[in-house]
Amino acid sequence: MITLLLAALAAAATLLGNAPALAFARGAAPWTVVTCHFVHWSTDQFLWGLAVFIPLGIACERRSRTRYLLALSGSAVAVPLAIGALAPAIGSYRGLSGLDSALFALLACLLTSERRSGERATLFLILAAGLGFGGKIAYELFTGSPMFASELGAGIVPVPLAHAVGAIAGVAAAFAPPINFAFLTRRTACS
Amino acid sequence: MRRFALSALAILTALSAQAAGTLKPTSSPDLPIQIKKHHLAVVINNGWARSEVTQVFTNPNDKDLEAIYTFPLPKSASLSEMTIWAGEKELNGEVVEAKEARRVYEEERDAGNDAGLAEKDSYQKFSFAVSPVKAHADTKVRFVYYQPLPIDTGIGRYVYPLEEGGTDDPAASQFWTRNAKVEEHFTVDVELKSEWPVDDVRIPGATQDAKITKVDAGHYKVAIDREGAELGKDFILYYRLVDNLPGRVELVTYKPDANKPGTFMLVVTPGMDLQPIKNGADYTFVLDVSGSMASKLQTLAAGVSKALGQMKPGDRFRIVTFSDNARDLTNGFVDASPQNVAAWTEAVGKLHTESGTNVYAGLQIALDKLDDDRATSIVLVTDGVTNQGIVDPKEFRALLKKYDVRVFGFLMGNSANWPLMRVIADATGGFYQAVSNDDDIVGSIMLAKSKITSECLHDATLKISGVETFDKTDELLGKVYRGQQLVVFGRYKQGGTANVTLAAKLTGKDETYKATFDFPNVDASNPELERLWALDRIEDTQTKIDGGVIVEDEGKSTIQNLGLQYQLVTDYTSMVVLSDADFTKHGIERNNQKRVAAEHAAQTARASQPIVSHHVDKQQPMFNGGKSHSLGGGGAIDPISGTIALTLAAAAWAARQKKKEGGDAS
Repeated sequence: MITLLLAALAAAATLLGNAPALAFARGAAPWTVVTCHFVHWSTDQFLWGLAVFIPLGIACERRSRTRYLLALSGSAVAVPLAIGALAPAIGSYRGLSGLDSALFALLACLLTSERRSGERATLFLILAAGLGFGGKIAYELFTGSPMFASELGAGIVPVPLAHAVGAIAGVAAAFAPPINFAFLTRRTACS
Repeated sequence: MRRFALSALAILTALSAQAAGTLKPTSSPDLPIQIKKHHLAVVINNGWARSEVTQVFTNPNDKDLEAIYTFPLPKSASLSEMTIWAGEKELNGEVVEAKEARRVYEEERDAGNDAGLAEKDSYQKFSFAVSPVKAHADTKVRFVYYQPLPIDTGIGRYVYPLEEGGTDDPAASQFWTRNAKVEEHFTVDVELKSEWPVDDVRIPGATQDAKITKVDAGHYKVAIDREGAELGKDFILYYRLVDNLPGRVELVTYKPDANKPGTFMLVVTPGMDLQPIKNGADYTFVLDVSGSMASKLQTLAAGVSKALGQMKPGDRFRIVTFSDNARDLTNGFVDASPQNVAAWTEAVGKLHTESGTNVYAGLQIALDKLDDDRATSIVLVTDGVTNQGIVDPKEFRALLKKYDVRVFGFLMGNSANWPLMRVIADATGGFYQAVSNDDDIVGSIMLAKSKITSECLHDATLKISGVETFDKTDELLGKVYRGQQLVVFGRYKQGGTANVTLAAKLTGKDETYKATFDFPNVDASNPELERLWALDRIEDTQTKIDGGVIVEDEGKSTIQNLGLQYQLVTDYTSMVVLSDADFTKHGIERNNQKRVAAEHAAQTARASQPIVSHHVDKQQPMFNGGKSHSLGGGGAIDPISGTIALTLAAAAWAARQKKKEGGDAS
């Protein structure tokens, strides 16, 4: 499973000390656009990021590996680039949660599309989860402050923009035209 | 001069090393007492350091001895505990009035009983007397001191002083030079806990044998184990916080009883952008060329040369040297032209040392012929105790108050006269920095560079309203330099919501920064704060005595009362170390025992806890307007988002299972 491989990479990066060189920063090496998601500021941030990444990743990957890869690659690139362009106060970025947001949005879309007619409870659950997750991102984005005290460590601020961009990438991946990655794809897309 | 100042730091590195931290017999014919083991345990947390020093000594003589152990006084150190293990006995310390402490110690010593005495000798050293040190037996001595450790330009610096500074004071130099070799192991354990992520930890001079372990982003451990080490060099640890941290307010409190006043330490790290100074300015380099500088003069010349080479067009410089008397080497200010730079670099290279140290004469010349239209700064570099000409700090203050200059003092070594330098810096709104002889130039430059080369806040005041505070550090801060933290100690009556306002002038404009946060009504986690607060009051009082702001008797009484109440060794209070029975015999109350018990309990609790955040302006940052500092950012999944996401994943799993079951059934 790609999810478990990526989770192992994040765990390895954490165990090896979260090298600052892997974090995204303006003027940093180009590969940090990807590597920044696998390094973290604190153990707390790592554990929560991973705890969400694994189940969401597995659920998405099982449903549509193509769209899963699209969401991951799209958000991996879009999140740091958006921070670089739109968040000048952020000097350095780390964390899995941008990817988590993409997977969340993708899974919500996939579940909605595979829902059978009449399954109101499922629809309600998806809507409630989407509103909760999206509402929190929106609140933080518009107020500029976190809803809950940061567990990232002092001097490190949560970046709601990363979650918003990740979620957009997830939705985009869900609605993208079907792409046939024959060498990777086993299952068909939701749409 | 700002470049002068940077290079002044270069001067500070080439110093002769003499060892301190030895236990020696009081009678000279006896063999020196050997240091068997020397262990330093340091915990840096919450903005201060706790240093615990444990040494085991062996008396190689055939008779019991009284011995004196001396230790260079670390900056702003509050000696709080002393324990002596003599055989099976454990003796502990209580602080009493200095004369009474000595009387009790001598009475016990003369009676042949085990006793110890810790005294403070002005600004130079702590001395510990131990009697008897048994013949051919080990004696273990332990002491603990606390000191605040402000972060300067993102850099924390801890110094464990072991080296004597090489002053002109013959008594001091005679004092330090005995038997400083540790026969077995010299070990150091440092635990650094920072609320803010730490990018790097460096230990100059111990890069080979220091084992540095990163536990977490702000949590490091350092271990050193040296066999047969010489105690001739200071142990210095630098830690660098991640770049571009925001301006912030941190509050540490201690208020164990809801109905009694509490103690606080408020640390404000300004976050506004203080720009580099662009206009040409005048810089005077005042150099100590007294006898004790002999071994450092070459480095001094190299430093001045480097400083001159870095001056920009429009700057002017002047070089004043002093020993017994002072001399204006450049005969007034000269333009920083390439020709002048080359000529004066050569002249400085030919300087030679003379006998005494007359700082006053040097400053007098430096303050002569100033140009009122140009900003003037003075860099004063000295390694010694002023011992020629005018030596009274009040006279220094009176002289400097007449001029609009900033004096930046660089004090080399552990015995330099920092109380005098503090008076000089306070009088001019400058700052002073102690530089260990074992400091590295890079670390020192990092600490001083940005302050000297940038604008500063003027007429700064820090006011607290909403919560009734008292006995606190002066509200009038004067100048605040780039990277400088404002550390305010004080007491408060009741918890509640406080409004803190920092007002200052920046490039002529009035600026105000505000924050609102709570002072807790009960907080028992930091009892050490009381001693740190008391020491801050003591140092403030001493500076006022030195500067002639208050009369000596009044100040002495204040210091003595604080020393007794908070159990601190001061110039007027000492720590007598006795057995429990002997304290009872002498009717000495066990105030320190109670205080130490509370501190140890809090330290044990903190050791098992994660790093506690004292950042109180998270939600409404005091320096929100100043976006000079970029932040570290991260995607953060909080428990609520995490639960929502996991619920969705569970729903996905359930749907899949249902689908499977449906498939199987069909």
